[in-house]
Amino acid sequence: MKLKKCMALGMTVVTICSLLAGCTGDGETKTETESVAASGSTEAAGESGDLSEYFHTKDHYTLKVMAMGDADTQILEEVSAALSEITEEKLNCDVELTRIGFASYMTQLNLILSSGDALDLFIPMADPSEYVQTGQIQPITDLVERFAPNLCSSLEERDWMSMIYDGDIYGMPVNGEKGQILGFGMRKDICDELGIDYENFQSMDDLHDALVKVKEAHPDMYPVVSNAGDMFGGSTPYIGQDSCGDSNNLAVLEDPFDENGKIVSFFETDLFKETCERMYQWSQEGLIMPDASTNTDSCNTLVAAGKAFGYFQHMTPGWEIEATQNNGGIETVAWKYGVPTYIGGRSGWFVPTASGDPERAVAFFDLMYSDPTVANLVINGIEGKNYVFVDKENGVITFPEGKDATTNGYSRLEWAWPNERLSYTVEGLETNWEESDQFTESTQVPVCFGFKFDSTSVMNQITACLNVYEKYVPALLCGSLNPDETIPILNEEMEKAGIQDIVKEKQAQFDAWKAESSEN
Amino acid sequence: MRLKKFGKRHRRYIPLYLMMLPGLVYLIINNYIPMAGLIIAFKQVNFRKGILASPWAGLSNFEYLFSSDEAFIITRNTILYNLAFIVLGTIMAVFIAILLNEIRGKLSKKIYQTVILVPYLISMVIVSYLVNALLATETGFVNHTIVGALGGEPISWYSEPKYWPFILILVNLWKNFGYHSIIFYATVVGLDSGLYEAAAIDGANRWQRIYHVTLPGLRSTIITLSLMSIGKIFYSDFGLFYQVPMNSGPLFDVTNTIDTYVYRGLMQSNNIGMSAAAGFYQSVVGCLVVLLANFTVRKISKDDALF
Repeated sequence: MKLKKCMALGMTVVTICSLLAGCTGDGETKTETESVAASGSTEAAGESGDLSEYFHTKDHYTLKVMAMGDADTQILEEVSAALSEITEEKLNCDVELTRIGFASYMTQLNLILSSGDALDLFIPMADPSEYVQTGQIQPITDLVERFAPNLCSSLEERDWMSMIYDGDIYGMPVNGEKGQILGFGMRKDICDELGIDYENFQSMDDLHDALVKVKEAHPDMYPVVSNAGDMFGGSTPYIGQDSCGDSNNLAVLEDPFDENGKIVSFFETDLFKETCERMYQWSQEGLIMPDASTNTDSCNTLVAAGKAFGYFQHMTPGWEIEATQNNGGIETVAWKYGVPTYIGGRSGWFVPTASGDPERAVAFFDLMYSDPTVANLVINGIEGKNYVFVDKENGVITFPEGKDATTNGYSRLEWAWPNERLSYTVEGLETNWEESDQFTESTQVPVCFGFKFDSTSVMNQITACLNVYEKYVPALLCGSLNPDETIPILNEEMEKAGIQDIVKEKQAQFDAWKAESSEN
Repeated sequence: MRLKKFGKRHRRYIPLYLMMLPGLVYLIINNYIPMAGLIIAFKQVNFRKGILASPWAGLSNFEYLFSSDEAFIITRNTILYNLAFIVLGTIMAVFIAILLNEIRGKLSKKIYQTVILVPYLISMVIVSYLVNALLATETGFVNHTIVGALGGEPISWYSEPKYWPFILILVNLWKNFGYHSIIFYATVVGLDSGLYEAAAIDGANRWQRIYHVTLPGLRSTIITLSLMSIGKIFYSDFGLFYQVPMNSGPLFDVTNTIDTYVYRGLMQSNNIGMSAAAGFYQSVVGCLVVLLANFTVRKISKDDALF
């Protein structure tokens, strides 16, 4: 045991040295694209020295950090050890990193947060307003300026808006894509083979025709699969509505861009009805995998295994690149539809109330946000084990021989980390940040952007509605249930569970918020 | 003076009390201290303030539990399934125990005993995948082989609630009959063989011997075991109701029990107050049921009552 630990430590020291060498190398050549981040970190160098001194006057601490994605336990230990080497010096603390796969992330997170287990920093899967209301996460308004100087200097004001609840800053937004659009991702080789002109689809009917073709040509393949039971994304199935101030999708704005839009029950909207009807029809035609709503495999696993043609997802620029990587190298393309929507700063990192040292937690976020070595450690793992360099100068990496994105032991979810713009890029999958910025320019900002719904007074209605939701909605969106029969039952049960109370309360808060923001 | 006498009289029990101590400590830590948590059912929990300082919610947590159909459905499911398990499970286990007793070959008896016990030892998670192997819509054995051979349309088992009461009862029986049979069989083996001989001399045939000797001999074991199960009638086998239906939404009406409801409330909706309210309801009514069951048994046959 001891010997193993010593060896692991030795290895990490070696890898850190090589990483450090790698970084100084590409720091010189990558200056242009990363000038913002780089200048941020040099500016802050003096300040971070002060911070380091400050933390060294305090007791040593072990920061517990939790993030999404699968990773081997041993690799996690190595990454944690490598991080600790750095944080030891800068923050006088060790780091213990945990990663949990999508399927059980939310459950595990809720368990940790409600049991009061030690956790210092995490990224939630959905809007964390409930955690704010139950006091499971703490405000960090007074901490960000002092302990996260790099973050503060690089953020626009509107990026903070999503992180403010009741006038307090709770979260630290990630620096990544700031726009999203609806889309259907599919295998390029099959599109080419069947002459599917995915770029010029006009409507869902075109997609439908293409799927029928796929089914005829490849009867052993499911044309549409769910992602571990979810057809349009997990806790926030997104089909064009806006959940408006929370992520429950109970009381929503049907059109996110309608200035005069009223809050309504999601399940009474035409959008919901049409989507369910379409999915049911597709499912009847055998275009959707059977048991889609109880499927426990991710869509990526299914595509990589050759069992699936495509799936719905929310997309950002460069989505194809990431999807190709996640699908085990099978080239994936997408048809994007709907309105490009601004979501800047929607996902961020938070500090639980149970954290023993919020100051260090915020400072560590800032380190992941601004320090390329740290950012690459958490995003890409260990060099030689999880990735190898193709072009060290330009920071281009690939997976070790015989491995791919799904088998390299440390899944690369760059967008779930504080600053994906600092990460090495995978060969052939380079993210074009210029394109991304252009896309952000083209997005529309939803009318309720920055609005936060305080659900305290209707908490029990929400729980009751969510129980009904679990019963029908995932299955309806997967086309497993007949909407003609089920939607009326769903609405009846939602009424009983008190959905109108939620709608009313949200409308009132939304009106108040609009009045207030128009005054300013 | 009196105390001294008491001490003297009880001194010889000291080793026994010491032996009891670890169990008692465990019971207090594990079963009694957490009871303080029942307070959560009446609170609107705020983690920053802590449980005690959180604002009182009165009965609002219960109000919503009972104003939706949810409370009725989970109670109905929990009780009816458990009743079915108790009745069918006992009949089946007694039946198997008697059959085991009639087997003469020593080796085959050992083999049967072992084989029927195997399902009891399998984890519910594995059972859920065994069931899935049978019921998966496209690749499952039932749809693929049986329904196919009969020329029927494949059934999507995981979104059709009507089949699940039978499936769940079947799975429960399959999993537990072996264990209960062994308990009953142990009693059957312990019955006085003189009774059987006497019955045989009186000309009783095999059926008559079973009816008049074996079953009366099993009576108190059946009552005790049933009583213990009834005591737990408000608690459900979480694995059976959560894992086996693969947490499938359309099945909730027939698979949601108090335990799965509490779990979902806690894990998915993160509403601790309401989960605690459901748990509170379970504890209180469960306790009443135990008292009632014991009271009834005591009325009928005093010796068989638990307390």
